[in-house]
Amino acid sequence: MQTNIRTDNNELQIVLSDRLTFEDHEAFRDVIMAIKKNEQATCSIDLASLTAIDSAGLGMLMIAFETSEKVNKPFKIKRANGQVKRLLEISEFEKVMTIEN
Amino acid sequence: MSLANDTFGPSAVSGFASDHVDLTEAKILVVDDSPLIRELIGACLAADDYKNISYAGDGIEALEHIEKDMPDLIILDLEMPRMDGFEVCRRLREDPKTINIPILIQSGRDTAADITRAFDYGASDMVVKPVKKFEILARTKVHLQKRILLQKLISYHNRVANELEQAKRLQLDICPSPDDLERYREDYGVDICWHYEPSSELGGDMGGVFPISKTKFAFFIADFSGHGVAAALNTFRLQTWLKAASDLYEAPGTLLAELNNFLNQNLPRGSYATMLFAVLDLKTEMLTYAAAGCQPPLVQHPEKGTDFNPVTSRGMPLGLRANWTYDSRHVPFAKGAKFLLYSDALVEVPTGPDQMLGDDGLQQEASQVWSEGPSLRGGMNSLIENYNKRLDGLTESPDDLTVILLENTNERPKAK
Repeated sequence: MQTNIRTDNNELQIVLSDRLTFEDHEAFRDVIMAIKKNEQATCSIDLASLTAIDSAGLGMLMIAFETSEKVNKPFKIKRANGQVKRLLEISEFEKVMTIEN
Repeated sequence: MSLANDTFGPSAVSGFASDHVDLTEAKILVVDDSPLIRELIGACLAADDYKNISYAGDGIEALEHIEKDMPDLIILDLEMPRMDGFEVCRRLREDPKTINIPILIQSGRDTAADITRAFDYGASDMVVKPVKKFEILARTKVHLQKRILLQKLISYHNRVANELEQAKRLQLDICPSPDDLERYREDYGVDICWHYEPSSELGGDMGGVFPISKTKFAFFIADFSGHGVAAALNTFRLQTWLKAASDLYEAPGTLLAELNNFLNQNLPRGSYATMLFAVLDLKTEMLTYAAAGCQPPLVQHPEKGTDFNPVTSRGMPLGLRANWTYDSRHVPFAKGAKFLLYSDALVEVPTGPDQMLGDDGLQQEASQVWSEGPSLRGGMNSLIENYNKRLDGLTESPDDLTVILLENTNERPKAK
């Protein structure tokens, strides 16, 4: 996994690329910390360049959402495609959080 | 909850190196044709309290001694009558029993060629004569420590491997046996093929069948996120919960909702299980199921031909969100209908560069296989064979594989 975290327009924008798997659990702490300390009004995770995700990765996205939920910041996942999009759909994540194309 | 408390927490690994090791009980064999040198080395070792020192006067004597009583370290001269030190080294390294014994060469031969040759023959280290007490003691200590740590590591590894093997057998025991499945065929007129292949490591796949009444039984497939021991232990936790929840078997949606809350409270944050729980009523010929994000099952209705079609398996994986609801869905299951359930592994196999079989691929394959009119078992075997062919040449060890295939034969010879 590669991460790129920036702020723009009062939004914390997290871009994840490559693969999000169990091996990334240490690196994902940075993402969680960024959301926790986030002073922006909203948070988005861009998955346009994420090519694959495993079960641990899906769990991490849920933790990211819940972290944002706890501080009452609107949260969305956008531009997921392929296997990543399919797994989000089959897991009904759109019923919990905003999923944008 | 802090991130440190969830699945991604650090693991505590105890260090072998920190354990105190008493080296003075180690068995040391000193090999030299000169009695004087043997005595000198023995005296050096005794100064560091080594208690188990033995001696040999040449290579043959040394090998005889080693055969009878395996030392922890050998201090070996090179030039000796009958059999020299090079030959002793060579023979010890050829034998799996002695391949790892540290061999400390002590010799007056100190040319580059001699030293190179000694190491080529398998020496662990070298000291040059005249023997210096501090040097021989220091090198003895280093090699004994290494030897003992290595032995501990090997025995730890063997013990863990053994325990994992036992755990894997326990997991296999959860699966219904061929006898169990035969009973379901006789009691309910439903033919069930069950294929479970645990990965080389322990995994989080599981499945099961439970009788409910003379005309109803329940079955399920589940897969815990992650791999290894933790995922495997969770399969036992789930099995225990399900055994105690028999009053919910006829209401799959309610069962998943309650199980979801149980897992939400008991699994580390971010961990979950995907699952499908179904109840089959042979009187109404209706299959009712609820799903939580597992692979979409494939259904074949014989009146519509041999094609398999997916039914939805959408649902929040169990344990991720508290108080979630799960729909019970219905599939007519008349005579000849088939229901195919499977874990991720079956479709997450490569069919070409950067290409996986995928759900669609499996649907096409199952439809294709059954267009040739195989028996239930024959068709199932074709799917497994194709899976194994696709695994050929893969370096990664595959995930657990579970495939469950049911057919309503509508024949109940034992109907009372």
